[in-house]
Amino acid sequence: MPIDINEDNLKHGLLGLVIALVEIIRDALKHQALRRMEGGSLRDEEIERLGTALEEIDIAIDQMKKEQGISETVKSVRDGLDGLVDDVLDQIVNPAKWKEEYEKKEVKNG
Amino acid sequence: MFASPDPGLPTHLCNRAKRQMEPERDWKGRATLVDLLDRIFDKGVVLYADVIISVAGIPLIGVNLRAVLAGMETMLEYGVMQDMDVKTRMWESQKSKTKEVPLIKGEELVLKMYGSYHYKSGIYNAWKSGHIYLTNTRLLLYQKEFNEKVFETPIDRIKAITVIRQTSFTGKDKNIIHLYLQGKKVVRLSVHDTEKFKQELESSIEKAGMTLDEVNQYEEEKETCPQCGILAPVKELLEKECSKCGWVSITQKKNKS
Amino acid sequence: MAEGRYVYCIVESSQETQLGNIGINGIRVYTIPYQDISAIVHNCPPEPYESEDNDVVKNWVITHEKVIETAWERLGIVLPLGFDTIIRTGEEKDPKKVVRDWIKEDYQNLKKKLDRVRGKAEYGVQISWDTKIISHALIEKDEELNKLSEDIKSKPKGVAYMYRQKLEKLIREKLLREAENHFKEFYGRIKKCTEDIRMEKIKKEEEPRQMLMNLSCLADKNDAKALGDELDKINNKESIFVRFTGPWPPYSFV
Repeated sequence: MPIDINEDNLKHGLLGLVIALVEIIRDALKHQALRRMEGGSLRDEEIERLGTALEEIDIAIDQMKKEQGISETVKSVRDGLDGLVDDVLDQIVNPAKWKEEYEKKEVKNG
Repeated sequence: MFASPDPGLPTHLCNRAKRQMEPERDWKGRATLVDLLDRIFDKGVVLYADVIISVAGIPLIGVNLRAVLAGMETMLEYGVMQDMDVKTRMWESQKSKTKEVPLIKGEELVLKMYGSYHYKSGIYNAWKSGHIYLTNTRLLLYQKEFNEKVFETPIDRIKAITVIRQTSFTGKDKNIIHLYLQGKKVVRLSVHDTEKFKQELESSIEKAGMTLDEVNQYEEEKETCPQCGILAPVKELLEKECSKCGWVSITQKKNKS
Repeated sequence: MAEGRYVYCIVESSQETQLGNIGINGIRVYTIPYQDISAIVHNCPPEPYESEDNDVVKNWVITHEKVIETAWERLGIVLPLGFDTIIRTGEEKDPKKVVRDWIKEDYQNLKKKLDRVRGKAEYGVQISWDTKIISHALIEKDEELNKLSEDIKSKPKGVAYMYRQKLEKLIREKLLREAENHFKEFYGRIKKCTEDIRMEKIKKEEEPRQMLMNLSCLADKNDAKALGDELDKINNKESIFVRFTGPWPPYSFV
């Protein structure tokens, strides 16, 4: 996936990439926050603070994307990255694996 | 002809239950062109999809996002920069070969032991670890991982052997074997079992019909001072100090204090 | 000098036939037979067709397909080749021989493949669902999700946010299981109506649409109706969308 930054799209290209990565990190933070909450190691007041902070981050990111007009750019970077990760890890929707399982069962059932 | 539902249409228009489904092949539809392209271009190819960031049309940075995004475990498994470093790839393929040292026909292995060889080239010096092989004809140090013979000599070129006690920078005492080779070369080795190694080496040399000289005549050999680079007699450098800059070996420092 | 032969497809024919000026850029297309099979070609330079202009490439690709379809109609079975398959004939005195030798080398394999696709065509089946609709349905039906959804309304802002994250995660997990069930069910039903199925890469769709399966199916042309009927039933399910395309020359099965 080429990301070309030139005079015309300098802001877009670079910023789009940066915000895409920020969003990915933010998602990881959300994921971890959820795990900690589910793990039961957080007090109610901490959960409240955590949730509020994360929500503010969401709002800030959305605002930035709107102001800079880079929502589309960020989305296409993230879509491209999804493809990359799929190559390495199992896809979240994993038809190949499901097909295998289906066929194994078919063989079993005769 | 059943028209494919547009992704943006509200649900109730999408489920046209009464109409029978017929396969769609309408060249006007952009969607069908995409279907054609999917079939007509090389299907097996996965596009090289890492991100290349260019500025003003000139590629500058290649980012191996697979490593960055897939997390530590995957990074360790696949190796960061795997695709970007040819040397690393070669190294990896060499590693998987785990060769043994090829012995010449008729050559007998006398001793195999883990050890290090002191390598010096200009200002670079380091101890290279590997396996020391002593055969009836030669002595060598081999690194399996790189399939490389770091050091090799026919045993009949070994003129004298001595063992010097040295304190390494870690504070540990080590026995360093000095081999004086024909042609005024000095080889420094550190081995797992110094005594055994010395015995076997001396024995092999004897069996080869050679005799070892006394070390003294070789000790006038000069070595470069690690600090100022001047050539000075080995014994003086190691057991006293550098006459030019006053560099003192760690062993000496220890003894003095 | 035309030192290349652009190959469109392989057909069952022992005749040297002219198909007319139907090729890319209006060039003459004809057959080069070897025994009972032939390659359908046109003469060209020994380099791939390339262009920065998308419309130009689009036209080339459509022409490529149309040549194959013409051959299909006239001569029965085809083994379609991908775009830009060019054989270099170089300075050979007899360029036809180069092509004949190319066929000869792979003759047994080509014959086998021709037999396999005889009377059949490729059909594309893409099944997607609307995750929004399904999510809402799930929340309504599932007690745990329902309760969580209700609880959120009464919690303080920060906690509500975290609970929403939890709800979204639970929904994602349920969706995944549902997707798996749908896949296995539909795959089984489609398999009964087809000779062979190849799984293609899932394509990204506009949210909330998500593709569950992308299949290339090989089926007898006469069975297309049965396949269509089955897909109809599937399409009639709430929030499931089926896209059925074809008949294509069997690109994916060569």
